[in-house]
Amino acid sequence: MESIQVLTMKKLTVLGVGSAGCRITGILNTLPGAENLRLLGFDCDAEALKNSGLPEENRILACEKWREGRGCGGRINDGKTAAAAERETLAGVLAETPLLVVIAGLGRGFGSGAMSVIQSVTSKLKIPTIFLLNTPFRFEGSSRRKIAEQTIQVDLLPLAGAVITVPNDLLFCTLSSTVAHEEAFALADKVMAESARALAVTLCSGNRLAADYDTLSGLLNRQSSSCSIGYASVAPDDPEKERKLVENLMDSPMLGGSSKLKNADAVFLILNGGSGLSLGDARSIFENAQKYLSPDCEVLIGAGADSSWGDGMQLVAIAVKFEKSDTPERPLEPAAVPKRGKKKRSETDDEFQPDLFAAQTNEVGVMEGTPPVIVDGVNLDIPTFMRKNIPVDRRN
Amino acid sequence: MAKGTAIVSAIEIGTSQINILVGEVTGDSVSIIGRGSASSGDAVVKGEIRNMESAAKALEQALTQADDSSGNQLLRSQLVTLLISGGGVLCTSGIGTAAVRNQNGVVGEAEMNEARSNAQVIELASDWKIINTDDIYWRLDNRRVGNPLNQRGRKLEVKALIVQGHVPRLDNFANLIKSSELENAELYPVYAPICAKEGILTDREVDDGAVLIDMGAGCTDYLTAHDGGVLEAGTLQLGFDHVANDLAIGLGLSFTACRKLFENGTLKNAFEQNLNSLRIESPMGGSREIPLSQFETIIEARLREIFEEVARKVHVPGGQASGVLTGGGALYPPALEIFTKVFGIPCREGSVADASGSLTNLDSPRYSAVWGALKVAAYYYRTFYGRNREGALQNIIEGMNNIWLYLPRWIGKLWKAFKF
Repeated sequence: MESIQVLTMKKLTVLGVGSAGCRITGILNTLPGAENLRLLGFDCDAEALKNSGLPEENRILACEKWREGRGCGGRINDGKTAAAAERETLAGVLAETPLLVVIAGLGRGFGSGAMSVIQSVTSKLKIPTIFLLNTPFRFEGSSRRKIAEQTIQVDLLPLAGAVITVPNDLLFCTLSSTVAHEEAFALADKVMAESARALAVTLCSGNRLAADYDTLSGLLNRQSSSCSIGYASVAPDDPEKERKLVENLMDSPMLGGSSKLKNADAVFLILNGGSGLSLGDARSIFENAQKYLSPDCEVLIGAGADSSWGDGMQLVAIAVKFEKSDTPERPLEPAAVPKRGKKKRSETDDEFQPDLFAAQTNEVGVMEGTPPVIVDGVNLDIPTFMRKNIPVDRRN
Repeated sequence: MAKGTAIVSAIEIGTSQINILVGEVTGDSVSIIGRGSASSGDAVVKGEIRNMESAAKALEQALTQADDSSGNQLLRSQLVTLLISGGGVLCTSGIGTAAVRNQNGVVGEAEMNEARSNAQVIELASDWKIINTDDIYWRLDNRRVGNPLNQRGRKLEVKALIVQGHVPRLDNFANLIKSSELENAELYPVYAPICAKEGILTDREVDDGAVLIDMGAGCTDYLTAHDGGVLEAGTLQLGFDHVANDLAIGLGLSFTACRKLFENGTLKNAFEQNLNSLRIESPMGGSREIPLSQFETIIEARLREIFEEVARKVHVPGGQASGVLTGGGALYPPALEIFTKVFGIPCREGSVADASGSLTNLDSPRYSAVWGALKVAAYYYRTFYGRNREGALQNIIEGMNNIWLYLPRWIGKLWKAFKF
């Protein structure tokens, strides 16, 4: 544990949890500017930790004594137990951090199981924490989705500061179905890594605009929400970088298309650049980006400058869609999450919905005025993708 | 018309279009001599007539076309079958028994008909009538038999599929036909999935086990068959219009444009050519390039849901069962794959393969059911006109409670005679 003690010398921390979280943190480790962050991997699977590419001293192997570096095979209870065994280690490592970004893929054993432990540790230490979480693809089956839903609803939403959940299904919005499996995941991981870096850097240092942690957590705490994340960068020598940055953002795989921005209730725009990033650049880019937003959308902007960016620029957008608390009818799939009597974020928030962007429950198109087809209380005239929250892109 | 032949017709008043086939019955075979089609417009929704006036106009147009293409033979139709589907149809089953009383103890037609009659004694809600029945299986002295005729035994049982129709809704269809030039023909309603089965399932599929799905614009009809008989059948008021509606809402396109993508084969071609995107021209000028994956996501979600809904209602029969997908839904190539994933059995596209006559280009799966209905019309003609016409040819819709209009197992054998 001595090596981990050394880590506490650094401040701002990104913690990758589980194999997906460690993998993304490993990618983050290769990005410029990452040297200013403290990057940690936390998993009970020694092989996944090793494959993350993180330096050995940055890996926290959970419950090595009992699990001997084996994964927990998708069993959430094993994941929780293994993470709980490292409660003190985590508390020691994270004690002085001013901001923690937790990255994890939910739906499997450790990534989901460890969330409640991390939440309780950071809560006890009063560390501002942003949870940046992937939820499983729909095709991965209902059991994984239920685990993810339960983790968010029960372990995180009632207590955590800022929870950003990004459905993997967003990948289908912009990527062709013929894109190779590895390539699609690599793209998604890169977006998550860049977003984590942008969030951490912007919120902790150099931001002279409106966005800070309290604003973000205040926004995300207001109501139950689901998010999508877009990331774009341009080369330093690109003559039209202001325009291209925004256009590239719309093609970002985890954003889900421009319709996600247009339908968002709030959007967090983060611009990072080198020391040459001018106020004029920032104005031009933010104005361009806001053309894609609805007039009622609440916009938070943040900008950070760091010499490690050189002349390049990076734009990150986190689009937030709130669940409508005044909607009398619940979305039509039955809630999968058992209530445990814990505090809910809103009266109607008893069900996790990875993507509510298109969920207008009264939209039946040409079926309007025809006798509805009701099966088990569900109106099947409403498009299936809406009822099942499958993201689609309505870009023009 | 040659001597010894008769004209029969089949009419399908579907949600997207009205199809009419005119056939000439010669001996054991039927040949198509005319065909008419017209768009239903807004006349039919989810398999039920919504606007009688528009429906009458569309029917008139289709009848005119069918009459022209058949050389004015349509109006000579002696018997017309009318495809029935939608929310006004309900499938149940009944069990009937009969004692074998004759001296030899051998099952005869009389015992079989008595058992069938008894199977129809079921509780009917007001305004509902039995429109079709079909044998599911026979048991003789508690052992299952394929065909009990001429077998020795004491107690005969039949389990029968009973199709009930909601009379006011059936009347809408009947009145529509009666108000046309076909007013003098005998009109028989036939349940659409049974027609689709007669139209495209092979004997072997019916024996080995089959799950048949006929996905039309407004409704999806389904049927399972095994050991030569129909086990289950039903209708969901979900069809390809729901798919087009989902696309229209999801992609911000017009419903008509989305429907056309299927009807004119644009989507089918795009998938077959492995295109990455589809360019949609706007009627207001300009165009949009939409990734094919977007179409795929929306369509797959809906089709999977419809198939899963069918899978909840039926059991895949036998260990060698296969699937057949027909109707407009079969025009979307990935649908077969989704069918296979949901039911776990191989699936083929069902289209008309055994039509004969001057108009045989019915290769689209959209004609499966109406072709089956024409075969049924020919069978009815031979059964009633060829044997005991007197008293039997009451109009089914007006009062067919006591008429036994079963489709016997051996219609499959007759089918062979239709093949050329």
